[in-house]
Amino acid sequence: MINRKKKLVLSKKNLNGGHAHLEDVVAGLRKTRCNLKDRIRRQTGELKAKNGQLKSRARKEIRLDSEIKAQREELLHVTRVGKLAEFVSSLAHEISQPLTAILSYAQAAKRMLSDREPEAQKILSYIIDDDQRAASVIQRLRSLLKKSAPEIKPLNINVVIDGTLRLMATDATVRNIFFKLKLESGLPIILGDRVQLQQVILNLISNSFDAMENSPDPREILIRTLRKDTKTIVVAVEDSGCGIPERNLPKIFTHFFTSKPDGLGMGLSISRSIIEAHGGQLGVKNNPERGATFYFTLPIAVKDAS
Amino acid sequence: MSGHRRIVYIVDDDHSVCRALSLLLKSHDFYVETFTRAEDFLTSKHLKAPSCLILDIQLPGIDGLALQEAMAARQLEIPIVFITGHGDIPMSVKGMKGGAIDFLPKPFTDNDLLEAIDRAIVKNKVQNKNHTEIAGIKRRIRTLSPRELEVFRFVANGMLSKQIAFKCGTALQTIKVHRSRVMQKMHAKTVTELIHFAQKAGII
Repeated sequence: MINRKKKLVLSKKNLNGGHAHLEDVVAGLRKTRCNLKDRIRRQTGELKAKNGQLKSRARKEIRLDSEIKAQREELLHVTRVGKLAEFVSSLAHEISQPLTAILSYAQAAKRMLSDREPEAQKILSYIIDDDQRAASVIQRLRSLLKKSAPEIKPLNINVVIDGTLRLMATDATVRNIFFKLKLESGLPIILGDRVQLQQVILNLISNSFDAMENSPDPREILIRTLRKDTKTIVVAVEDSGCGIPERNLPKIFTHFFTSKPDGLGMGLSISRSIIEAHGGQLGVKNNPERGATFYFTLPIAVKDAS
Repeated sequence: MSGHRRIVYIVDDDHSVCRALSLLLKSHDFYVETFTRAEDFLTSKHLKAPSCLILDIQLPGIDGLALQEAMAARQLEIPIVFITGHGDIPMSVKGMKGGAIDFLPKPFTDNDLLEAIDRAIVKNKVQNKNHTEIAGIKRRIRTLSPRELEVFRFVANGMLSKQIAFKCGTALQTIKVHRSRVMQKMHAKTVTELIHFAQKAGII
């Protein structure tokens, strides 16, 4: 009995000892768990950070990718515009040959018939008229592409605009359109071909004329120039016309795209190639209220160090 | 043969353009000859009648402007009306400076063409008249004796008989005789006319 009791005590002792051991273990476990939690927290944090890095890197890659794509398209566009003038010129030549022949055949036939066959005479007149209609399209194409060797000179863009507006004054009066000017004074000089830049401004303004065909009075075109930063000036032509349908915005600078019934779809694509050749950019946006604003940038001439 | 008809030569590498222009101009009573190569035009025989050349600027081989130069080098005086399928301004300027009558961008109307041809033919008539006249003067100059020719040159240069006599070391009377013979042989009624002949023949 005593023994048993002893044993019990012993075992209680043992048990007590075991209890203490268990507590140690538990404490150890707790500590480990804390450590683990810590580690997990830390590692989760690291993972999150890495994930974030990866994500941003992926985003960057995607952005770079689309930039490359945009640049490639830009390059293609420039090449296309460059080739365009060449293409149109040879097209005009190829078409003008048969048109010349058709016109002369018809005029010869008309003369040979003299006053006989009035019906056939009428048909010949129609042929002559339509031949000349086709010829006038070619004529317009040619005048758009009329390329003399560019003459690069220091220019004050405000003076160029002034000269262009003088050319358009009569047309504007007839259309009951007024020009409003906000030309920044003392703008730095740019380098460019006066005639080509005038052609661009003329083209933008005459587009505005067309866009305001059905606009209520007062019809106004606002022309602004300003210095954008140390390297660039901006020219903007703002009208209150019909604006440009959203779906057409990406296409308006592509050649042969036109929304006018008798348009050629050449003006803006040529204008853009001229501005790009000058180291600038031509863009467009619709105005919040009505109408659209075309704007182009031109690099400021770098002053010679000497 | 052409008789008294006016002649239009056409050089264009496009057969249909040649045929069409030929039909049109024949209906207006022109005598027409067409060529698709500048070389063929140069080597062909040119008729002696008021003529004009309708010339395409762009041609394979010798092009329009080169033909214009080749004609000038051969003193082949046929006024040129240029036609072109390219609205090429610098080229037209060069052509006009070379003495072209006009520069018609294709396609052109019969009125524009006929008007240009008229001007060309008028110019050619004047050229031919000048040629005949100069040929006549040169023929008459060949009938002069060497001394008479010398006196002719001095007179044409505005020298007085006395000065000529001094220069030639001859009597004034002798010079006066030479001088009147020059006037007679050259068919000149006045000294002014004589000077005019000298200028035309290019001896002063």
